[in-house]
Amino acid sequence: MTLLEVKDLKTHFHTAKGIVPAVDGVDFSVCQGETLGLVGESGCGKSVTALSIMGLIPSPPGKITGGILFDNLDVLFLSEKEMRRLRGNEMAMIFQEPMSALNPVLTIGQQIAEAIRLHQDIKERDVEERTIDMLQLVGIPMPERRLRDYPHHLSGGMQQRVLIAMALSCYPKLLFADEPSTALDVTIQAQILELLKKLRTDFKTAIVLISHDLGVIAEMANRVIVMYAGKFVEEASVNDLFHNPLHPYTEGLLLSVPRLDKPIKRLQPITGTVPDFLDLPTGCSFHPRCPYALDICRQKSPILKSLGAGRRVSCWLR
Amino acid sequence: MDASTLLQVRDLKKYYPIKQSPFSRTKTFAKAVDGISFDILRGETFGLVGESGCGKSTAARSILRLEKATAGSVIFDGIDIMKLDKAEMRQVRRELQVVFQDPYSSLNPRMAVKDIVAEPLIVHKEARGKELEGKVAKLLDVVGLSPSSSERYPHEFSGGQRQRIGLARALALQPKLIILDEPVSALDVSIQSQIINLLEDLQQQFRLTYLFIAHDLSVVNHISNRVAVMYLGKLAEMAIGEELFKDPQHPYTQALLSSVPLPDPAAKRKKVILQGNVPSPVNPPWGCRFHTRCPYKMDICTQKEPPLNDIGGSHFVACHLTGGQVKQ
Ligand SMILES: Nc1ncnc2c1ncn2[C@@H]1O[C@H](COP(=O)(O)OP(=O)(O)OP(=O)(O)O)[C@@H](O)[C@H]1O
Ligand SMILES: [Mg+2]
Repeated sequence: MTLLEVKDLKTHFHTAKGIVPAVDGVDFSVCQGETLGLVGESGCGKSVTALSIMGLIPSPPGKITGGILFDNLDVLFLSEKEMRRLRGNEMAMIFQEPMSALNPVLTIGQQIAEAIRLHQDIKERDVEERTIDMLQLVGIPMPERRLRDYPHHLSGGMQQRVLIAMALSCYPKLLFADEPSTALDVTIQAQILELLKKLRTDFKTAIVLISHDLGVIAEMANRVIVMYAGKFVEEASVNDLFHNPLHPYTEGLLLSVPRLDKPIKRLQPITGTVPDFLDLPTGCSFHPRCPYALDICRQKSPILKSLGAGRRVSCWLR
Repeated sequence: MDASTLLQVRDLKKYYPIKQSPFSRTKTFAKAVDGISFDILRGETFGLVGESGCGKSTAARSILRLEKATAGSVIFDGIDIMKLDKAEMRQVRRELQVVFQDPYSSLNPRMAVKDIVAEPLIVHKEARGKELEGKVAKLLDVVGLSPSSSERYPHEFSGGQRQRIGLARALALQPKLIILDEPVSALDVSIQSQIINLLEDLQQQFRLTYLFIAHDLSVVNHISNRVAVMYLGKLAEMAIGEELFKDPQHPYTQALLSSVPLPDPAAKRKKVILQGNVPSPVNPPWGCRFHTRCPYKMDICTQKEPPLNDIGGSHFVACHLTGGQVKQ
């Protein structure tokens, strides 16, 4: 069942230097309980996509157009109050830097309790017990003692667990996880990914997992969308994407990472750098870095074509 | 010391005193680096991996004498650099360069790129006038920066290009060893691979030796000849790269490797998920420092610290399980 449907979403920032088309006409949907991976390099618009759906883009400078249908609600037409309720109850988000999302002057017990009071219909005397349950659920040892700790007392991995506990306190149907493990060490990352897997099985939460780490995406996602300069360039099931990439950018990303499972002598980098949103190339935004670029790629922007079986690609070669 | 050895580190320690109440009688220390020893051979890339806070960067800064080591010796190209005075150290530093993770904070924002690269040449009176200009232009070319970049300032460049500027500057005095501390960690994957390839090319061209410090095991595996794994101020294991990644012996190395998500959805692996966090270096666990998280903990592990044993084939392991036994 489709939980979220996004149509021709555009999020443009009107800045002093010009218009930044951070998200420029993307269509996609998320089904109940699935994990959708969103990959792409820094600045390509991954976070802005998620923040737009969550109603967290400041306006001005942001201007959002298109359609967002969540659980049959037209999100862009909701009042700020309705939006806040939706954000607390149905969708939630966790971020890369857990510390910046936590309030440094409140204990973690206070912060989780606050989230529970807001989102659950529960008697005040039961709040503490539920708070402890949530901490237990996300694998924080000795939760009774941790309640009175301040965020800075906790390690990065523990802070991220607290944020996950807060995000889950409303049992959301959709969780945006924006680089949830990027700032963490690999052994701690493994713990957090394991926790997310357990939670999606137990609560059937759909996850939009944003990451630039192809390993994390391969391990967690069912379906993947690759983003470049504000647009989607490829969408595929996780197996198709990794074993048979169709867009040259996807192929380039896969060839440029060193890998433990298949060591190679020499990496094959994608040449050049990511374009500036204020000075995008003509035609396909990827053409200056594309080894296969044709004349048409320099002139006309390709559309995201559907190839059947959930596969879409935007490339003149396909 | 063997002529093939460029850098010899022996029992290096760096303790930081911890602020305490003025009434407390004993001093306590954070033992950031607690006795590490290794050799780096001429022309090789020696990788040092470990999680944040394990002491990798502190070890690098102590070797460079950017910090005063608490104990130990560092012999660089036959010279015991811990014993040098400031002026002598300045001479050695020409041959011992460093490039950090965030090139932005290590490049002077008010200097044009050409002046940043020229500075070491001027300070060491290597060149002036036309000759200096020529050298700078050559260095920029070597790291893949266009001539037009020389008049621009660091903030006008992307992270990858700033890393190229840092490399051009490090190369100016024809160093023998470059310490690279997380040189590609802040970069996007496509740019990261460009810089890794550049590092490999420069090593060939100028016969450089690298100490490559990083937390990303895939990157370290790719670029290094030999690798040491650090945990809480000590070396847990050290071996030739291929061997270490194919046949890790220390339970920590095994867990670390199994935790790396592979970019292959068909990969079937059993992950060793470590419980808990890295303990504090202020009061590291007794015995083996890893015992609080080790899935194979034995009684001896809580009592006796395992030495870094030679198990043959240039493979060293600090673990009671492999204690001194040569591998079959
Ligand atoms: N408030 C804003 N005003 C102007 N531009 C903005 C604003 N917020 C984001 N942008 C721009 O939108 C673009 C996309 O940013 P976004 O944060 O979505 O990238 P990302 O893919 O999440 O990158 P990363 O991997 O670094 O997190 C960037 O160029 C960014 O500078
Ligand atoms: Mg982002």
